Amino acid sequence: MSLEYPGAWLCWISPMVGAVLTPLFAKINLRVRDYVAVLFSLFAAISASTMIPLLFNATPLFNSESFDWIPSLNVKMGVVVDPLSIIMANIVAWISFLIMVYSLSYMHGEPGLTRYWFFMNFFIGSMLLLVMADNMLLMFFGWEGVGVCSYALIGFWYRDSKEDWLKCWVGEGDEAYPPSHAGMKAFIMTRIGDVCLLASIFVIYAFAGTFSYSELLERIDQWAPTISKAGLLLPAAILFFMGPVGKSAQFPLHEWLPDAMAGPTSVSALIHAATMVKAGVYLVARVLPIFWLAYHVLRISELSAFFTIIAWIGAFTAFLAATQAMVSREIKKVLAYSTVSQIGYMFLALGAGGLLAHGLVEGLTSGMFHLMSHAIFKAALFLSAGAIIHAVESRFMYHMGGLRKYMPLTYVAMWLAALSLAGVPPFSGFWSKETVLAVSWEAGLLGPFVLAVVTAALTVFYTIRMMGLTFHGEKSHRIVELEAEGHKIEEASPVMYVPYAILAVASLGIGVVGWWMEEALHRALSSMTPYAALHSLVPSVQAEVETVSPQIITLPLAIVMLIVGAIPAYFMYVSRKVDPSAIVAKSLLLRTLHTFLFKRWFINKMYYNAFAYPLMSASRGLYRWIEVGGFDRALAGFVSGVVGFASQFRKLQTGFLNYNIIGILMGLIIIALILLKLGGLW
Amino acid sequence: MIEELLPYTVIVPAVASLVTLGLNKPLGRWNGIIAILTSLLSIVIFSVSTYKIFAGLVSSYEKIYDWVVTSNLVLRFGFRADGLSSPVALTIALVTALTALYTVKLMRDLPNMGLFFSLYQLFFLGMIGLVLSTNLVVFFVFFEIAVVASWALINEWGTGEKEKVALKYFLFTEAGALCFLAGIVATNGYLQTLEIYEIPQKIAQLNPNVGILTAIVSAMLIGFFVKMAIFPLHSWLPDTYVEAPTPITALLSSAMSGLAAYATIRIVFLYTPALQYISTAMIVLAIITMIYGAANALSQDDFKRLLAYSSISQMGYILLGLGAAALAISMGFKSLAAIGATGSMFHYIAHAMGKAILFLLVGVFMVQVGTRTISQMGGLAGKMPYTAVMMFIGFFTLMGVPFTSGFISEWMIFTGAIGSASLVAEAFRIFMVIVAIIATVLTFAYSLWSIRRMLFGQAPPQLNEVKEAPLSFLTPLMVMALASLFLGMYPTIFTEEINKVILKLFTLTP
Amino acid sequence: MEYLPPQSYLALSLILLAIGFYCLVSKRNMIKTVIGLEIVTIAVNTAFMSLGWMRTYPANFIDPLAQTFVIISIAIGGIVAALALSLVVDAHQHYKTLDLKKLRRLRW
Repeated sequence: MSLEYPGAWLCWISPMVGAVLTPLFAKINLRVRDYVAVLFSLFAAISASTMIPLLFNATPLFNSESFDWIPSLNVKMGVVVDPLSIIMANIVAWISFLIMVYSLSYMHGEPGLTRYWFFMNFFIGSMLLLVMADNMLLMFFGWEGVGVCSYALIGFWYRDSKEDWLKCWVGEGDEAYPPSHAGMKAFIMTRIGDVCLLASIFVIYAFAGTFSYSELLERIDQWAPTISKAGLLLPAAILFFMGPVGKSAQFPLHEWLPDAMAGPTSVSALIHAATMVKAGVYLVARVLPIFWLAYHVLRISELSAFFTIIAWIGAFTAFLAATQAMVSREIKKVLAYSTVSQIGYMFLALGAGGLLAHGLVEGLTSGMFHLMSHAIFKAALFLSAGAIIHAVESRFMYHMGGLRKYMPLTYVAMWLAALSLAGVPPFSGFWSKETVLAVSWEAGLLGPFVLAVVTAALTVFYTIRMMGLTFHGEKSHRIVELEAEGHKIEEASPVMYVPYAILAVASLGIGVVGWWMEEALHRALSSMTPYAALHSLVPSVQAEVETVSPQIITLPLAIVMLIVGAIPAYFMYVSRKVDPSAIVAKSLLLRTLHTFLFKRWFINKMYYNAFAYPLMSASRGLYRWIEVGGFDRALAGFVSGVVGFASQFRKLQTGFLNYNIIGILMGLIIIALILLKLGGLW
Repeated sequence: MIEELLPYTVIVPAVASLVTLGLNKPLGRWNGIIAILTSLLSIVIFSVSTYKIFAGLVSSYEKIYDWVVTSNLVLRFGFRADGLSSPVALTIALVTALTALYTVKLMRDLPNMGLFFSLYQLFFLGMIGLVLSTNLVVFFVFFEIAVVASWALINEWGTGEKEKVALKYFLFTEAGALCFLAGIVATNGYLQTLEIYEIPQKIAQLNPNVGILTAIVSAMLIGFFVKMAIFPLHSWLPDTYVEAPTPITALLSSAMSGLAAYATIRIVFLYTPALQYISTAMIVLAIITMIYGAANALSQDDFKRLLAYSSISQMGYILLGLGAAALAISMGFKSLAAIGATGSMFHYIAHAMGKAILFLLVGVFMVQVGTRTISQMGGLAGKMPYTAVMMFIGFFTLMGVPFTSGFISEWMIFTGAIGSASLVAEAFRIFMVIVAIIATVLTFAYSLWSIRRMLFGQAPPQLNEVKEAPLSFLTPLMVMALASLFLGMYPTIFTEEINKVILKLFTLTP
Repeated sequence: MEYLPPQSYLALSLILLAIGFYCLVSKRNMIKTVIGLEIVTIAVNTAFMSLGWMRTYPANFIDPLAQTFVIISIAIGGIVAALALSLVVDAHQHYKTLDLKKLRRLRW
């Protein structure tokens, strides 16, 4: 059995093998176990990299090779090797490797590390499986696999001990959640999205007869019109999108990601910044050509709603999350909201690209570029945040302050990544965000465009706020206490520092070559896939050709937003000339706004009050009133009815022999009569 | 050779049952070991037969004896192991053997052990005979044996108000069984045969009234619905499962309940003309059951009762696959129907593994922690790591997480369900199935919620002394967990063969 | 010799049956019940004989097969009476009374 693309298979199989072997190595030696675990992830990364040369061939890709797996369902086990999967796989694999290296130092000394390595490796394997799978069933294996690992890793510190309040919990007041709760919440919320995705996959299968992406694309003229006539295409598409909404934490299923910060920071970096939450984006990118083709070539017009919904949800979520990041008090939560927000940008790009007749490749390029750059700088930010949390032993930013003197290297790395997030040229974040704005302007989505632009300003604001609160200003009380106890605040160890330094520099590097990067991506996606060929299937629509290049609008806007967001933040948090809490305290409007944003627009509360608690009460009520009160009582009533009826017959049993003989006599008479009747003598 | 051995899978337990009954005192612990050995024998026989059938060497094994031959009634005592009954019988034998091993380890001071294992083996042989039978009356006989044996087991070794609960279980099941008997009698009257494999021919030959066939099928289904605890005939199940001794609950839940589903595929689906009238009822009841069981499970504080409601919900899943298959057959799409039915059977096997693990865990908790009330537990993952892993795998199988067998079975059931709903192309039907799929979130909710309450968080102070269960307790569970994971990743060995047999079964019909 | 037709003997047996049953139904004394039982036995034997004569009427003999059965029946009747009386004696020893209404342990 020779494989044409061994790298494609090895990259996801090897970490899973590594995961299973981890407990065995743990029996040998704990250090060995750690290094072996990291080694497996390195092997996965190298396997993924073996596919990079394929990107530079001239020949188009969209190949897959597969083995029969479940013939009755027409399901094969196969991998798809095309620019989309190669790029995504490499991003995932290499960032995963760097984070595994970081974990060596970050998680040192934690009990239960075997479990940690097991799930981390299993996660990497599942994520790569998700990326490389060529059909939806296999993809779903990876999809749920990352969900399980996410659940297990968020709840890593499952003991929920109050002593670790500053490190392991998340939230404050009545929204404080222990790790086990956060894990459960994440799994259930993403499951809601997953079941919608499942339902959609089955509906599509019912009409198309296949789960494979390539077959769906090839046979689209057979199944898409049929589904559409049954009125099911748009519902199926929207249900399909609900899966990514859940996995990528978009509105309305976004509430699990901020609380997922209860897990270790390396987990947050890997799963909730760089990889798993991108799975939704990747999936939408994977199926975008299918729906795009249905919309533009087959002219199924209802699908425009599908793309518009994607764009709107993306833009709205971006705005929603950014506002919440502005008031958050925990460093990881700021980054979490920021992730939700930036993923919104990616969906906006994909949705906008779908709407454009010749925008498929553009939308994909934009979305994937932002995905790539975000993965790198967000991972860097999270890893540095982890170093800071380690140093200060707290997750709250009001316990930090003035750290630039103590941790200069981290300071520099984090600023590099933060500037990328804020979208400052020439960092990669600037280029990628700009392409998103461009494509949404071209698609004519004015509302989302405005939201995206405003969010850009908010992004700068909260980024600088975070950096200011952490590194600038005076030392907090806590730092003073810690130093008094003899606990030194010092720079992170190289094992931790080097990974995020690499990522931060990479973010700068990609930014420097940003324009070329975008072109390269565009070329890869168009020439190496059939996507550009799909463009030619669309009859050219003159009205959609923009005479004005969107860059003229978006570039200046981006710069303006940068300044609008940066200036207040600088004065409030970096140079500390203006006190924000004083401003807020003075105005009722601002105070209400602050509470509204701090309480997560009350959406979180609403979910608990509208769904979680009522469900439990409904269950209790169901049990009490219907099960016990209804069925059991009905049964008891039935039983006593039967018993009552039967006890009437007890009265016959008097015990008097004479009455029994009367009975015998009666019987005799009746038999005699019957015999006479039968004998015809009556 | 296997043909000759088939009757022994029933005879050997019968003899062993007498042995353990008579030689109760001197045998002591060997009572249980004899039970393990008899089921082990069945495991060996069925493994060989399953392997041979799946490898394509044989299509089926049959051994038929003439039992009653009179001028107007012919009954043949037959055993038939084919691609459907063989894996099901293997599953039953495996679960029985592992549960017996577990009982021997866990319940050392069981009073009257000989009688217990004697009845246990009667229960086992009832189930095996039921699966292998080729004749409706024989089926009924073995069914009754299993019911009586389980009644006796609950009555004697149960907890709480065991006599009342046992009687409720027995009467309910008997009422259902009598409906089934009515169906059998009617079949004999209208179709002139009691052999299961002759039913399709007779229907084609004699062409009876569809209304009569529907009546027969409805009567049989009522009997099966009682056994599968489908809403609204489910109320015997919670009390029975809670008060029965734990190993018996494990057997009842994993093996016995689903046999009604097996019987539906084997028997009911042969009455093809009648299926179009019952399929809608099956699907609707299935969806209601799924949601009802899971919704009730959510608020339970007694872990065993929670698992009982979970079983009700899972039986709903299985019925959904069957209902979808019925609908598809009635519209002529045999292969789509086969997928739904295969999914149901595979879910039966998957659920057997998962539920057995969970119920046996109840016993482990009773011994190690001393309680099965969830609100008194907490933080057990740290104290009992291996047990915790078992619980995860058990629950994950029920939740349908990929890499466990539950995922593939649910996938197949839902494929069949939406597929057949789309055949009818009524948006309402498809909407119903989508609701059903979304309702699987409830399964996630109660599973994860139980895990959180029992395994995570802080351990309450009275549980400080809790220690991990000895590995010998957990070995049976580990075997089942491995089976579940293996089937989850490589389901083909079962699904393809079962699919083939079911397809053949369906194509027998006109 | 002039005999009454067999039907009258049948009527006689029915009257005896009625008397016997009346005795069984209404008497509270155990021994009177046994007497009633005996009367019923006599009635049955008489009926059998008259039915046997109805077969061979108008000949003046009764089918010997019928007579055989009746003789055996009389013997059995005697045995039944003996057994019944022994049961009555036993019951009297146990319950110290001959009143049937006192033997109510078999009620519900």
